[in-house]
Amino acid sequence: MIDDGNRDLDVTALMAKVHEQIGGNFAASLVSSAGSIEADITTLVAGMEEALQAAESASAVRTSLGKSPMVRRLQPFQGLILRALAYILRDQRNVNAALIEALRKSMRLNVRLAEELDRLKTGQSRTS
Amino acid sequence: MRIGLVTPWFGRDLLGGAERLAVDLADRLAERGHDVTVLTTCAPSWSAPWNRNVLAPGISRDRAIRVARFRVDHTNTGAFREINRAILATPHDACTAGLRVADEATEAAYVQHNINSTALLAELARNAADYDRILFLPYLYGTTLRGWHIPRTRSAIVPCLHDEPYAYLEPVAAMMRAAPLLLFNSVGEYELARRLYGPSIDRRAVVTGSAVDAPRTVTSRSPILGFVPETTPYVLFLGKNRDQKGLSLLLDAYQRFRALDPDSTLQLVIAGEGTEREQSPSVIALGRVSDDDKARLLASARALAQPSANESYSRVLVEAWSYGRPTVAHGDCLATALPMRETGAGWLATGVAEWQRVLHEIARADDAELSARGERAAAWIAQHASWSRVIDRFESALIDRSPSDSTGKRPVVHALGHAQYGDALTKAALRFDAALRERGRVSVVTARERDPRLGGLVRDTLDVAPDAVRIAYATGGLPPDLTGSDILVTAEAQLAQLMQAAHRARAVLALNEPTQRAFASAGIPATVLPPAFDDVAWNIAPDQAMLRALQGANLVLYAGTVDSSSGLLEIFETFENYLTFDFDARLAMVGPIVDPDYAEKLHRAIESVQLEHRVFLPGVVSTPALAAFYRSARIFVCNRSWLDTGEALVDALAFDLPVCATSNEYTQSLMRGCGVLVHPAPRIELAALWKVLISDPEVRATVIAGQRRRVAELSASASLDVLEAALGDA
Repeated sequence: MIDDGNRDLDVTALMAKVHEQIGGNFAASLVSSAGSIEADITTLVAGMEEALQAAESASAVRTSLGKSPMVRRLQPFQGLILRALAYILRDQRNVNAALIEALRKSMRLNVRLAEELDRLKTGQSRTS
Repeated sequence: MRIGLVTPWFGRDLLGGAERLAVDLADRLAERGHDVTVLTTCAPSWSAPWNRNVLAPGISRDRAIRVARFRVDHTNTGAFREINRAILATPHDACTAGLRVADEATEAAYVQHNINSTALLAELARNAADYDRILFLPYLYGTTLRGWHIPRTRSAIVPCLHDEPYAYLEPVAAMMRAAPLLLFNSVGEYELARRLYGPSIDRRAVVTGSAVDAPRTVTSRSPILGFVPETTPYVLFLGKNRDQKGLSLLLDAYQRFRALDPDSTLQLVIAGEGTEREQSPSVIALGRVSDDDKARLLASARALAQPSANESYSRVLVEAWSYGRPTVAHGDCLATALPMRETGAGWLATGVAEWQRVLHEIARADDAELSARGERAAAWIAQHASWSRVIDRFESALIDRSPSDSTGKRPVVHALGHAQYGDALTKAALRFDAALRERGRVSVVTARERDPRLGGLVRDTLDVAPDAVRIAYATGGLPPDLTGSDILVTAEAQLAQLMQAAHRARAVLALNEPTQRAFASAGIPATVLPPAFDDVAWNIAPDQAMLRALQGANLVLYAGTVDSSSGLLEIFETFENYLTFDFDARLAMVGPIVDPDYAEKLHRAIESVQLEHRVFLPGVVSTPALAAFYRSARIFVCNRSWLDTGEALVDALAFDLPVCATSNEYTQSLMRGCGVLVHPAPRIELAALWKVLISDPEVRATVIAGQRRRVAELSASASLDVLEAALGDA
């Protein structure tokens, strides 16, 4: 993620601090490739990505309780409630974020496997 | 050189740091053959009434120095005491860089009832032209605050600045913004000034340093008020007993140390004006001591304690080092903490517990260990604290650097198609226009269409001298009526028409390296006009209301145009993740909204997760308001796919904001290895990186140090030299 152009920075140490912040180490980033995969897999992947984005959006920290009339009555305590929620759900959010990331990587791995299969199939059909 | 030195009190027997500095500077400059006149008052010292004329007015000779004394004004000491008490009551954590600590009336009364001399000001008004330079010191008294602007370009401030409420007063800030030359006693003092008054002080700032006399050898062994320094292990405090000097912190720490280690033989000796008032058990209070006694106390101390957090340069700290003794300094005082970190000749302590711990360490350490620690400062003293080097730096700073002579050269017209408020190209044209005028050229900015908010800064295209050289600025289309004698300035090379037009121009100046390469590949020689920090435009007070509103939470800042190439949706998504680490954080995306559809999309994204009250998208704001954003932010983020002038990034570098930008050919060429450039990555990782850059002091310091080096390369004069070279002898 971090460009190694800044000679003053130890990128490895900085990434370790980044992972420390997240609360867990991520596996080395998988190389993404835009190989030729079949259209149905592309559609499937797009659908999965959409679902992941929805999950990601819903897992973000809330800084408002919304605008419904019922919630309006809680307005004076909004800051306190939100802070409490943010604190209570902090671990859960980290878990969610990590799971989403893991799913995304798993998806990329699947794409790569699909590409490999495709390549193998193509090679086999040429030799046979 | 004929040098004037304005200071409220002057005398060889005065012990305050600024008073000693005034005497030393006057003596040393006179020794170098300069004609030195000290302009001071008839008040004898800081501790005597400020409105009573004790000494006789008139001119006298003090060694090689001419001393001119003027009567003080009959100011209201009662009113001043009240105002002063109110100002000093401002808690330290309520002092925010850029924010005033008192209202205008209080500030005016502070200056009015301070130590003042109308007669001295009248002398300056009459005879300032007789001096090559007039030094004013220190920063907080009426003689400086009311006098510095009278000699205009000849004045130089030696502020002796401390991190105290006075430094946050607007009359002080205004002086620091406008004075032509600022001379600092230490790097720490300069860093404090930069933090308080902004990066625009850089071009006028010189760290001259300060020095101490060589150690004295004293053979006497007679007791000093019954105390014989050579026979007792002790830690020494040497200074005035004033609230700001931190003596109570040291006394508290020492009492705790004694309570834990009652059998320790380590004594605390306090000496200096007012210390005799302290009646703490086990503390030896000597009051004011002679120079010989001071030398004996310094030479025999196990360590010197400097608990003050309000120092611009601690003279006693350096004196202790010159005697080979280690020192303890306050961790929150930049002026003492920086040399301490550099030399390792002692300890840093902040809270009372840390001071107590250091006292235990000093009590346990053997003599050889303490001496070895004190000796570590020897090289530093030779480099920074020798008078010959300090006076060399003063002389070099005081030589007037006159602007180059531009008389007889043709006027310059900066021609814009549409001059827009907040637009990068318009700002670049205005910057070059101001800089050329500063160099003595006649220069104007014109446009076919102009934003009314630009006022008189931009004129009509028709309003142009016929023999003027035209610099045509092109963005988003062809420049207006480009001719073969024009210089073309642009940040884009994608347009075929612009390429064709460039063939006709007398010279092409590219505002970034990728543009220059694009022209070069089309066979058009172009020169890069490097970006620069516009210290003149930023030399302003930040918007107070905005600055106040932005306090209390970490602010993530993007400044620049809001359009589809700004990558702001991704920045916003990263910010959502960032809230996981920093719940109170805020994001500001400030700049002209060039693409309303994109801005609408951004608004919808913000509203969909109900973050409207956390994310500012104000469009273009005034320069003082933008200064408030830069002064309040903790990080600058940029995800643009291309940059025009790159000016916002340069501003972020100058304001010491760690920059986290997407890596591309534009950011790589501008940053040249500083800041943190990133490649596409999961949002959570980027957010965690922001968090590290905001909260990790070590990473932050490393990044900012690199950015400082880069911004020094991007000087306004380097950029202007390129422009003037293109103008040739016109």
